[in-house]
Amino acid sequence: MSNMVSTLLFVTEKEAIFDQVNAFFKIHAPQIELVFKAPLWHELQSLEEERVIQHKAMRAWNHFRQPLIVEDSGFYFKRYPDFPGTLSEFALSGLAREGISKLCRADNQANAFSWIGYIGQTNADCYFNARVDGYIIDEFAPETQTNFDMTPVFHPEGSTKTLQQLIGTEKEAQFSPRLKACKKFTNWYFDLPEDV
Amino acid sequence: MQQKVYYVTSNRGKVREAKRLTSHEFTLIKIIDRNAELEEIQTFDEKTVIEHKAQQAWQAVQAPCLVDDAGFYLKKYGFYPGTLAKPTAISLGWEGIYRLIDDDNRVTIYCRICFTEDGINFHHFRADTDGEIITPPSLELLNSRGFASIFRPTGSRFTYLQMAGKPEANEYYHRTKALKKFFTWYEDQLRQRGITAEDDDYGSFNDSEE
Repeated sequence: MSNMVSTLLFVTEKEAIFDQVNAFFKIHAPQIELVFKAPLWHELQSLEEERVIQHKAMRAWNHFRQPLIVEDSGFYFKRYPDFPGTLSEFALSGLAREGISKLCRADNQANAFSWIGYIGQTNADCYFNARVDGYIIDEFAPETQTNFDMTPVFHPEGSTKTLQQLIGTEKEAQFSPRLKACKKFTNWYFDLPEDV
Repeated sequence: MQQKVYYVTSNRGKVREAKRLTSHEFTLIKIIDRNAELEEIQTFDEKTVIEHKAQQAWQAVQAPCLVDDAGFYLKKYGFYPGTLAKPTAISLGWEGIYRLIDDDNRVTIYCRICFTEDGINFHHFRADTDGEIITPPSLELLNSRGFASIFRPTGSRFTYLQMAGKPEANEYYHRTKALKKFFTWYEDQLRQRGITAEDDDYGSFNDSEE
């Protein structure tokens, strides 16, 4: 990419996600300085991943009018291939450990996904996604209905740790769908081959 | 003159129900059908969801208008799925729903109405009905008629589907109860403004403009 920007807004509700992505950028894309911005709006209610990430990116662009990225993540139970998807955080916080356990008892195999959306200028939006197979470990879900995402409960296949336990380790970029999507974005941004 | 109120929804059945009520009981109000898909936002907060819809409705008609939003709460899970009931039921499916309620099938179904005359002030009306999700009489019925075929209100021997068209439905239907709350309130407002039944334009009684 010829018109490099040194500063990129990362519009996300969660500082923990910002910290995770920022740590990745500091190592893999130090030319980019990420700046945390919290959205002042709610995301779109839709079961379509692409619609949700596009809506997030467009709303953020219309508000900030600066080059930015947004993120959306979730998972699907293999037994319920459309659930919870874009509703993951709401399903996890609403069902808590007991509800998740009921669904896991049938089959705890799952597939996690993450999207990174980028807008550098008007009508120039790009989207990158990554998927990882794994399992939902219900015993790591909070017992009470508190707001949490899939990070503590998703255990990638081939890993010995959950996504939460992988944060900050050498293996994190190998198993985290969020960092894999980030990698696709930075490769595209710096015009590198996909597998670099 | 009857006061025109646009019902902004993509569901014609809801408009028919509102018109049925106004033609029989709330004759100061004339429901106008406005077919529109309204964007919904993702939050558990009922008021935030419906006000977002009402703002879009106001932008579309720039006239007195109402929108509705409905959902259900599984007693076992407190506030879940609530405003996200529809996408949850679609994505999880009935098998998953029944798995979640295998030891407690109690449910509360609600309807919220939001009305605005100026796009600034939003008035909320809410009704709910407690009941239980019963074992479906048949999978065919469940797949074709959905929630109505398995929701049985507390105090009734019938499911929503079985009481359709019967007087009992007025007592239990969450949307009917919420609409009646709104219509009662709004007719009172209209009377305070001097609009009475004698002024009604019965010649165009509850006609649809769209």
